[in-house]
Amino acid sequence: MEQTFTPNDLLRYLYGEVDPHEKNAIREALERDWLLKEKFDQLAQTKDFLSIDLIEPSATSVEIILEYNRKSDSIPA
Amino acid sequence: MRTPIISDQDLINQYLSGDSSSLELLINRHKNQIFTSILFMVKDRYLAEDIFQETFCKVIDTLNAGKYREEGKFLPWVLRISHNLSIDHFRKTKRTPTVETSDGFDIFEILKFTDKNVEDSMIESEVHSKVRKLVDQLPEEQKEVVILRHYAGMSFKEIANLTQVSINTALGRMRYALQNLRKIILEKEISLQ
Repeated sequence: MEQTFTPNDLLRYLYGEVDPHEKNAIREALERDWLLKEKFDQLAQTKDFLSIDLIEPSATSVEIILEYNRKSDSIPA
Repeated sequence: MRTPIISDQDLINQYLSGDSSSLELLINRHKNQIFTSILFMVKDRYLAEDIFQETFCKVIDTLNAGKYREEGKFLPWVLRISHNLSIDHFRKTKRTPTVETSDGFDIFEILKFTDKNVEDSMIESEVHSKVRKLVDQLPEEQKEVVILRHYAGMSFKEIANLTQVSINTALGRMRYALQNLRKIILEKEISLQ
């Protein structure tokens, strides 16, 4: 009997949060079921749209944290 | 030969043994993920810098007090602190994260493009602006999952723990978020390529 997958299963697959067994099963299902593949492609396309470079905090912020650490009284020995 | 990457836990142990440079390594390793997720939440560069600093001051205090109990889960732990501090801010000011800041600050205008040419910078700025405006249109719970998964890099299990919902609820929110975003994109005829 063919295994069926929920939309949440597809989402976990899309974000790489499935175990190797599930990964293979979903990949095979996507190869034979074009409706499932269409749903998946739509999710994947929108996910890609959200990809942007991460933003760096200022060097001053990092320096303030390191200064706080230096001034901290209770640095372990 | 490739140098093995020191785990977060090893860096914490080295820091607790008195090596302060390990803390700097930890900050530099994770600062962009943590800062971007704070910035997406509060939408104000100055406030985000403050929350980022406060987050790591709490990290330092907790480590030095010997109260760190999250072995192997340093980043989710720090993200939990920064997330709670961001939420606290909105509770104190009685605002919701969707309200614009008084200075109308646009986080995507403050991105540094120092090593990119002007054309690349303009294209990138346009992309950031598009994404930010889209994410802002989502209901709060969906926006939260998008920020935590995409910019903080948390897993759905970690997001579920942080937001105190089941993993299926966290997944459902992300699915609705992607569906809603797609709808908005198609309505506004924004290119998905």
